[in-house]
Amino acid sequence: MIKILGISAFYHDSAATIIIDGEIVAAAQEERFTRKKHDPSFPFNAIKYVLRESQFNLSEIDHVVFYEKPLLKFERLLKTYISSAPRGMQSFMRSMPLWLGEKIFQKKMIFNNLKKIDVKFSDFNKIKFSEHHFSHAASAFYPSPFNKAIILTLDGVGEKATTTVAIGEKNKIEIKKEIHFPHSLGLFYSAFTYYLGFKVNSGEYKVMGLAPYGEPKYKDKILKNLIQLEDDGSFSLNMKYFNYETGFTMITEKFSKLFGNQIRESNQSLTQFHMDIASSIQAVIEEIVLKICMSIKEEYKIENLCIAGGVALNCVANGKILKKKIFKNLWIQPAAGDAGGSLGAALGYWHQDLNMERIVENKDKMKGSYLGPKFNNEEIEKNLNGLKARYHKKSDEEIFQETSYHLKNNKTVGWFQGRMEFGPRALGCRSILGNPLSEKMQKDLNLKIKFRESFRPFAPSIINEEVSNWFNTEEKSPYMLLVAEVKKDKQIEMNSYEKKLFGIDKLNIKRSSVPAITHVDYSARIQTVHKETNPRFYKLINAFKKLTGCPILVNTSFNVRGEPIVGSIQDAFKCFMGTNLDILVCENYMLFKSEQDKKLVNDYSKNIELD
Amino acid sequence: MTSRLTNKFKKTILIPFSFLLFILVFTPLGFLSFIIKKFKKTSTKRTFWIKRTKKINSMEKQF
Repeated sequence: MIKILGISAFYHDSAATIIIDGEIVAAAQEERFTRKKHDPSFPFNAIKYVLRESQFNLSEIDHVVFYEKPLLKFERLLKTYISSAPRGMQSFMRSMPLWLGEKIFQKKMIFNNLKKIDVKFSDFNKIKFSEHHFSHAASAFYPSPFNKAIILTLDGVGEKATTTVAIGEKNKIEIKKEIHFPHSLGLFYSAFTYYLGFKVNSGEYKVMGLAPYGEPKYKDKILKNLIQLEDDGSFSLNMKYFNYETGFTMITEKFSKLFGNQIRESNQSLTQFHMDIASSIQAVIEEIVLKICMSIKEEYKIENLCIAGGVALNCVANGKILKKKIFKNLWIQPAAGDAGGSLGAALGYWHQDLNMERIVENKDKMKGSYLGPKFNNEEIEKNLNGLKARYHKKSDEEIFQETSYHLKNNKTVGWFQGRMEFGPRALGCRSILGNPLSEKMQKDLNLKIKFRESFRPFAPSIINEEVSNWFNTEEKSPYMLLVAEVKKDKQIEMNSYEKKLFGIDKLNIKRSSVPAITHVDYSARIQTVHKETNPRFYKLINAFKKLTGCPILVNTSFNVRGEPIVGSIQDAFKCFMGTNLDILVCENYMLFKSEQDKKLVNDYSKNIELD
Repeated sequence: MTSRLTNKFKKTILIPFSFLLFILVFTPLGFLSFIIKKFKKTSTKRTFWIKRTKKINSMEKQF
């Protein structure tokens, strides 16, 4: 039995994964334990959890694989400083002492940290290093249901590469070509995130959500000035407009001048200009991704595509790839960001370095991405008693019947069930649920529960067999990574007055028979729910369908703005008591807000950090 | 980073060393690279893809 621990850390979204004889046993992000969103620190808690799940001690692990090669990263850093000197001195003075003092000795640092978890861990040579983009590629290909595929990885930056194209066949991956730093789609998108006043590496979803409110008025300007795009999808950024290479900001003054407006302050209100900028950058990204896809399909003539890297979380772009039918099959790693690197590093070592066989099945090997901690009824009851919560214990059947009844009556429900999801999406185990038929649900969930901007859309979770009845797609989307349009017969046509509305004014129009999950452009980020991977969530939606005729629920992550998704019962109860959620359902326990002790209320809205 | 450098070591050794390194090595190399770029013929290539010729090193290595 070979046990491999994969680790990603020190940039953002640190995580740990354990695989045993090639099977993914457990994976979790550190932020869920430390409650620091995108926590980059060494994943002590995540490692302890995956070890617990595997029932092995650290000293019994055969290999520990870190998700990137630190010395290659250092080499890139030195080359960047040389090519830009004397600019970048401040940044050099800040980063060099850190590199020379500790980062360069990362193997030793990892070893020392592992020793803190288990003093018996003594074999320095067990620690290996995978390339950043290889880790992404491995996370996308090895769990996929394909024997052969093109693998596209797109993110900010790893060691040198920012974009790679690889071919995966059986148990091997070969990187064919790449684009190097500073030319990066991830950083390009992040530069606009920064310009729009959102947090880099966090607010990119907001840009994507804001885009449909605007018009791509600046698309040509971006393509003419900021980026040189070739027919094969390769690109080069005009670095006169970007400052991230050696500076402390993402963009230069020239960037703001080009668009005629200064960087938006985070507390400044969003205007039509900001929506048009979001729409324009989204359109540019989609064009680049589509060009890359068409060109690599033409070049390698393979029907399957796997994608990973932070840009793969841009579900609107993913939806366009599907719609264009460039590839027969598409599979996207649900933990596409750096957290998934821990999974890729472990699987990569198993197949590529140890040359272990890969058995391909019809379904993927991610187990629905339900790879995190689970709490049984006894543990939940003990925890709820400790929290002085008032609860009702129900049978399975009562849980589904009563929860669906309350959802029908527009109550909002915190749904805490089974194993926690790995990756940024809540897929029905740590979710807040609502009624998609309600016109007020989107606004209420955003403002009263998530404490976030009212424009942000919500995703529908739909039972898999029903997807083509409600949306223009027949594709499975178990990881909420694809966007499709609501079916024409469910849409409500806008009248002439409504058609003239701009920007955020469009928000209040009822656009379909499921208004809470229909974005202003009639799109929705779909999660198909499968009885094989999440039977409890599947049964709940079915019960809701029996009451309302609608096989869909609003599904958003169980957290508030600026906070990671809840991990434990304590987190769930704290979030429940700190927001306007009506009901909390933890496995077979149901809690009503109206019955809880008022002294336990903890007003979250006052402590919200910007995300 | 989990372990922080001691301030004394950072202030007395690493920061002055980094400063000298930048002034004496990186700045001249930066100018040299600037001059080379100036005289280099503008590329007419129609792709920015870089073919991967080197295989990925074994995972035993940090580079």
